[in-house]
Amino acid sequence: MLLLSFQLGERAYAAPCKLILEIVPMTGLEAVPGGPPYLVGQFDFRGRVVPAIDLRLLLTGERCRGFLSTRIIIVEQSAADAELGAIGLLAERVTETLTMAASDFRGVGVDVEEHSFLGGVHLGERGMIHLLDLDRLCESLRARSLTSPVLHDLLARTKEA
Amino acid sequence: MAGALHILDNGEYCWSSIGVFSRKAATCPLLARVIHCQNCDVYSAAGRTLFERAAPSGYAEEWTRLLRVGKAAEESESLSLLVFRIGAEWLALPTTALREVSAVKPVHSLPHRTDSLLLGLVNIRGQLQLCFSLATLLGLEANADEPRAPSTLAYRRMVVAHIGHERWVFAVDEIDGVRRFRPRHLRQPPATVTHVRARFSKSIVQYDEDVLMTSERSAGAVPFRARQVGQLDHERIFEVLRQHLQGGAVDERDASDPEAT
Repeated sequence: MLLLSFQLGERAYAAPCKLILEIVPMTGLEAVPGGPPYLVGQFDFRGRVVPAIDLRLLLTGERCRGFLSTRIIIVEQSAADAELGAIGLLAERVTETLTMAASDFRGVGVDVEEHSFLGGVHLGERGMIHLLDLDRLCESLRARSLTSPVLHDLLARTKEA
Repeated sequence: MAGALHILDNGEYCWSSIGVFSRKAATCPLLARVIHCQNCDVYSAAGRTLFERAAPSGYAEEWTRLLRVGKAAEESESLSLLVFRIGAEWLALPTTALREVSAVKPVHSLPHRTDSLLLGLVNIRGQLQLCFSLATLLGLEANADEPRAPSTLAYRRMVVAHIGHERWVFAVDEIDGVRRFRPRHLRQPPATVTHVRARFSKSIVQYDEDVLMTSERSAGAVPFRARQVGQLDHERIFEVLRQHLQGGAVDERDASDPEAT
């Protein structure tokens, strides 16, 4: 399957391209007051309001650096019951794609409840690559948003803004 | 090793000193495997590091503005047609039914089989193919000159069509090129089209300004001179030709008179 590779700090990640709608450069973000810290803003994506979630901040506590390679991955949320909007994920070094099989990633054996979207790890020449399940990540964000009405509102926007 | 940057002691990249390609003994152990630096991981990784710098001022603002505009959704459904001229008529056939376009070659008539429809055999790249006259099939007069600007030249060509394993070759007076059309631009041929043509016409394309797909327009595609292009039904054409090849005189009547079928 086709995976998008990116980095958060020093760690390398890969996410399946299936749910990825588009990758856009760092644009100006409008601040959203009252949201969780990893909700770094929102922006106008072709007529839709898309929230921008800093993945590095979410997973490591540090913000993404503002390099040219830091881009926003626009993911289309898929849920059986509702029509949900798109989410923008800020990540670093979003410059490459990889072709790998799901079997190339092995489960680590330790499942962190909060980070259930981190699937397996691939040990390659360049080091460890962590598989990120975008579907589960969106689910996890929706679950967190129950405690944050601001985030909930942004995630639950219908497709037609 | 792959992916680790090879910056030499003097601060330069490895390929600047070693060179990207070597006809003789490879000057770098990786070069022996990848032949040219462009295939090497080290080289491509170095290219990507060009992105590891702060965005220039105004970058974010420019993109904010650019992202607001909706992307004109390129319709996934599009039909690719080869547009060509026979006589004064512009016609089109889907590119999936065509194999190649070649220069005009001499046609060798078949003894006892050649007529105005089936012209004979033609040598296309070493293979003898059956050549027929599309102009005769459609009841068109070939070689009629279309008034055009003196600067453009038209070259007669032979188009090789195929269906399954069969190949059929026919001559055209001019080839415009391969054009992509959206399905909604293909309309039913009007009832006023002659019977012969109606049998083989699939649709009429009204060639207005917006028929050119966005990608073509931006690539500076030459606007088309004619207004209407008649798409032909290639399956029907081949069917009639096949019958003609097997049947003979009886079918020739069918080809020109639909009432007889």
